[in-house]
Amino acid sequence: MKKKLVSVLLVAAMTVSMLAGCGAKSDSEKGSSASADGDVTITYWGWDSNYYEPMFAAYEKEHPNVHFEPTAVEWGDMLTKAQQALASGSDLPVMFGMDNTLIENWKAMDICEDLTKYDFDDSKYLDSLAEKCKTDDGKIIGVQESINPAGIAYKRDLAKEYFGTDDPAELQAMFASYDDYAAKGSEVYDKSNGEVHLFHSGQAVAEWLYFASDVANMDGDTLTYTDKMTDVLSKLVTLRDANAVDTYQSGTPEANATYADDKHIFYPCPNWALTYYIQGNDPDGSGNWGLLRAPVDYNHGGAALGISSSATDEQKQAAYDFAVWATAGDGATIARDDVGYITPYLDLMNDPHWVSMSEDMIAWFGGQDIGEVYYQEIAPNMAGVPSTAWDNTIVNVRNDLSQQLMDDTAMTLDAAIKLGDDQIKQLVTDDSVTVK
Amino acid sequence: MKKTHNKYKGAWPSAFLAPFCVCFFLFNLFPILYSFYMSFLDWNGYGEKTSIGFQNYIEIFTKDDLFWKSLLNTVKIGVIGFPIAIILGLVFAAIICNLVHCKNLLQTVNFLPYITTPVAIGMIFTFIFEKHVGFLNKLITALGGEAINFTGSPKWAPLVIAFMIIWKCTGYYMAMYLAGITSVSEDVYEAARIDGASRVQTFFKITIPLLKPVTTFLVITSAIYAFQLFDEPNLLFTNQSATTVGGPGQSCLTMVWNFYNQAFGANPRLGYASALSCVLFIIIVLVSVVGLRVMNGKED
Amino acid sequence: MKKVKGILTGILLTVVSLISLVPFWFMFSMSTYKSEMIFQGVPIVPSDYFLENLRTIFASNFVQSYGNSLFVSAVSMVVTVLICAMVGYGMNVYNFKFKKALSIFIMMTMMVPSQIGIIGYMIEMRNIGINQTLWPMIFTWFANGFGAYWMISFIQSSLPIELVESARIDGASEVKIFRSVVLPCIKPGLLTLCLLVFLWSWNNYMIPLVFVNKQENYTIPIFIKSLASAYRTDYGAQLAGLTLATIPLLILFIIGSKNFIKGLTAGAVKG
Repeated sequence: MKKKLVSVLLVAAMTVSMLAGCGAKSDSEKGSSASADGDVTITYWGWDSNYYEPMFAAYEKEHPNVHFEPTAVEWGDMLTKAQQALASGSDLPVMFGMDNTLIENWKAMDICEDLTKYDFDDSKYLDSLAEKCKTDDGKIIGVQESINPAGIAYKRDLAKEYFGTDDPAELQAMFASYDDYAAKGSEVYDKSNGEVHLFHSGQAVAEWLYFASDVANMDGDTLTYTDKMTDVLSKLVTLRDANAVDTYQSGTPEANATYADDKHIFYPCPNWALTYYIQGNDPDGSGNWGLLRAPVDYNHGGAALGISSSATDEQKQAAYDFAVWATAGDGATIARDDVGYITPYLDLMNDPHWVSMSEDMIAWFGGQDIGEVYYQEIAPNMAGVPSTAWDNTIVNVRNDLSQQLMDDTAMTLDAAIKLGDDQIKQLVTDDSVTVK
Repeated sequence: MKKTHNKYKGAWPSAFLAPFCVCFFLFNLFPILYSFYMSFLDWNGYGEKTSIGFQNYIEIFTKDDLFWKSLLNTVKIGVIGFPIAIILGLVFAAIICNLVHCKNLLQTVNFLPYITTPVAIGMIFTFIFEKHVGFLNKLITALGGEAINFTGSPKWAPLVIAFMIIWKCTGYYMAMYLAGITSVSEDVYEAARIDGASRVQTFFKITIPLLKPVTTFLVITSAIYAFQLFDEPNLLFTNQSATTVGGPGQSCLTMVWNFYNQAFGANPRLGYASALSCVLFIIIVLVSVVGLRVMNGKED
Repeated sequence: MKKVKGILTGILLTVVSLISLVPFWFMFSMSTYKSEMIFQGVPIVPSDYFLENLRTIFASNFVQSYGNSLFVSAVSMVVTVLICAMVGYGMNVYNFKFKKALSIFIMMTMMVPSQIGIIGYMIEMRNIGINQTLWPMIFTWFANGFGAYWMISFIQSSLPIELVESARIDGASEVKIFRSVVLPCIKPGLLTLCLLVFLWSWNNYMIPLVFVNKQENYTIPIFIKSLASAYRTDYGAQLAGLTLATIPLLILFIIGSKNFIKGLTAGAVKG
């Protein structure tokens, strides 16, 4: 018996020492990367490589002592990974992207450095966006990367074919209301023998209508699900019944491939989608795109840069410097030219000379000055509602309902709302929140 | 078990068994015990931990429709997918084992799906089943049918997952059965042939009964696998811009996906999710034990 | 009559094999296309863009991810198979108290879904200080219930116990017997298990998803997933990555195919 115990202990000791050995090694590695002659390494998690790659490259060039170590994390995994790191006490990256849909959930984790410590003055930023980064007790958890005015992009060749013109002004007059979209959608569908739709995906349309809706998601402790979804989905149902919407699933490779086809005309298009979707999915489409204002001007999505409060002071300072550089300094110009982002920093944002689209982007839109459309016409009128902790849940349900409405064309609005009601009541697990 | 020498008791058994036991304790048991501990907490992973006793378990069984829905989905997908895969595996093994040529080739080819990364399976199956550009729908429309929204409709989506399972596992089951058939003595078949049994009769009267242990093994392991289903549905229905929890109409929300969403969604509840995982564990144990009893019981 | 049957069987087998192969073929074939061209038609015939896609892949940290995956899978494979073989030997040639209980216990270990303990596992790895390394992806395989169970029944059916006994009479030590008598004797079983563990570890998705927090530690499945955000719209490149990721398994399996089946043969029946 004793012998048995001895051998068990022996193996256990061996295993532990093996583990300890590995652990020591990793610690020393970590130590060496953080120190050394004034160099700072900023680890970063983000999904938006179109943004962080050019920005980091430019900043590293200007500040040779700063190094970025970005890790591409899928949008859907971002919050999850942060939560897992937090729950297990693992290291968070120094800096991370926070999508505005999830920003309340990021706040709840309480991992972000309070930027008021650095005398960050958020009154110099667009109010409605800066507000999203502010906690109830006055902390500021991030810097908003860009304003996200959104319009409706269209393919010029198809517009000419089906509406007789590709001129933005004339089309704007033709598409002034949601009903106009429905009426024209029906026309186009008939004219093309059911081949051509105005929009490619019910989910994409619902996303647009969701952001354009002025119904807030929460009223105190009440989740105003029914009001919000009725507002969004009723319009989707109208468009669906007019055959204006095709049945692709938004974001899939097949759906993205429609940007380059000749069967879908309109794409809801926030400014970040210019590089993220349009140029990415239609690389040969330069000159064939145009931009309209949606019936309601709106702000679509957006993201903020957050800094982990558990990083070293040196890293936090460097990350903060970067965030300010990216929005109020030279970086804002790079974001404007390379990414198509416009900082919410008021001094720059309100300067009509500064706010312009790159030549390349204007050429992409057939010479239309889309900078003016986005920033002079749409931005001042943007609708937007406050973020809530349950936005992502509503968005998930919205995605599902819009998909099902498209799949089963006989499904009524009421049936969809009822279906979603069952879902959301299960998904909202906080007893203090009631679903209406 | 064969009788063995008592002489060599001493420390040697421990020395040979200890690595497994120690590793199991360190890397499997401890995490599970930790989950068990968390299942009595109300904890979101970062805030205060509050001990709430059996509250989580009570909620699962009394209030949580999503749990029952995910259980139902899992059983549905599993019950459609695995039996077909096992039966197909058995039938193909019986056919292939008599072949002279191509036996190895067929076996290798059919085993390929099993070695493919789930990430790839998710991606390729979207390409095949998607409504507009999917290969299958192009085939259907070319034959004059109407395109079916396989991945977008709650009716079809679970079937797609079931098909993924069949596609992936049939070759594996076939290899297992083939191995079993090969080890059945040729004499038995010879005797059957002399008695004038047809091949179909041989299959039902000899092959199936003799392969019972293999079947038991496969049924139990696939039941276990079924309850752990996560990668396939999650990878098929998650993309960057239109995520849903559980695929269309939550029809593919499996138990582990439900656990994952509760634990790591936007509004995490680690305590509750841990309770879910403990219930899942108990279900798996129950199903395995009952399964073993039923399958072995018949034999006796 | 017999001929007709034979032809029908042939057709059936061909169809089934085609179903197995088609998705593979698509993966390969689509990886030879320029992204925008993939959806223009049905990509059955390969195009000429494969090298271009490969270049994109190799420009990212594909090689490192590949190396990581190889390392993780190889170490997991060797250690896991060794541990399982030891259990198999211990359970078959010794008699000791609690043997029955241990046997049931090993059965039970098969039933534990690895996902459920993931938070506890993370906390543990963090406390040992190796959560930023590749080790968590390796350790998780060590006590593999399936492997242990497999080796127990394999050794039971294919190791003549007399061989061990006569070696003992010759005065060989237990370690020596295990190394030079038992291991060679159960080689097919070892190879089969090697292949399976390598496969599972190579394809593992959940554990790396949770543990990998920096580019240097990417394994192949995570790398492919990250391609989806880094080369968001470059499906050709993503598929080229997937194709390359499948190759080592393919080679391993084709090489090991004969042994694999032999190993299954001896292990499965008693299962």
